[in-house]
Amino acid sequence: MSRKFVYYGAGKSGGLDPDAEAFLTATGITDPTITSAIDTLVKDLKSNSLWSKFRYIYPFVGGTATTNKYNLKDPRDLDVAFRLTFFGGITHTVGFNPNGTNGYANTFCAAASNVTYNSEHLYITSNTNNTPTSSNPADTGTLNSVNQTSLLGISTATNSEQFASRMNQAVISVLNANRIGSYCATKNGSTNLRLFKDSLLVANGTSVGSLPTFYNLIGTLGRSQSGTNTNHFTNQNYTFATYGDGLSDTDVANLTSIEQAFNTTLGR
Amino acid sequence: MIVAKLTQQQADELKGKEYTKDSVFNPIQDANDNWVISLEEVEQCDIKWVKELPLIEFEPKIYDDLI
Repeated sequence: MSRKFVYYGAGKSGGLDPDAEAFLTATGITDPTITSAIDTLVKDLKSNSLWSKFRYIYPFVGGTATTNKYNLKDPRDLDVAFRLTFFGGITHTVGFNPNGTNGYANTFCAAASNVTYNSEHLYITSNTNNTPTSSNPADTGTLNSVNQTSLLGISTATNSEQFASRMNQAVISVLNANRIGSYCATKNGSTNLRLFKDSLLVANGTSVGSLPTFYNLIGTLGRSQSGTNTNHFTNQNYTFATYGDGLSDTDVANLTSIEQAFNTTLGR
Repeated sequence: MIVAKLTQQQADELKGKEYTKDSVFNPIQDANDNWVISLEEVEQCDIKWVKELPLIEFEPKIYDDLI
């Protein structure tokens, strides 16, 4: 039995993966630590057969709106490439930190036209445990109606201590007293909605419904094609976010391991 | 939280306009229907009249819809 070795070192600029190189060129990032971390991130996602499952990957590196806006999967400065547009009050120092009052990012990516029903995931990493300032915060996703939605919140419910997802109808939730962590909500070929925190399965249940047509937002919940309601804004600092096809439990474990290694390399 | 208060006309003028590179003003209405923007937007923009806006305590609008 032969083994197939995949070599990523054939690109320019010292053997960078071409997709990593394209992202770094678009952002203008030259910092060697970030360069190495992005290159490793891309190679690890590819070697674990995860790369093709994403519509967008936001690594939130570089410390400015300009560097944070680019989609690692398609780093063109276009809405159709799911390049973020930032609205309202945001700090970009160590990731993407909306202010909880009016700050958010629009991905321009709608579930109905980019994934298939029952094969979908939302993933987001928070490195803060801030008490929410809004009444009904949602960290990412969109909601056409309660039967047509894809959302993930890590500070939901009246006590703001629930990790919850509604994908695409029923709410599945679990107590979440500390908001620091890597969160994933996914349906992988069935109506079973599975919630993971730091790669551990923490809740699951049946959810039917349908895919929303509004754009996914980050830092709040899309409530129309062009905006949100003010009670959904969040104030956590995000260091990573992805969206795409459904993930298996093994995929979630691998993605979490790769993402956490990436953020550890960057010291955050 | 402190925010800057706008008139309807000022809010209309800022909507869709960049306050700094790759960041867009987002005027919203508070619980009293005042138009407001955040201090981050005020501090990072270079529009003189924005920097002279009156400051008020933010009172978020409450909706009864649930996630």
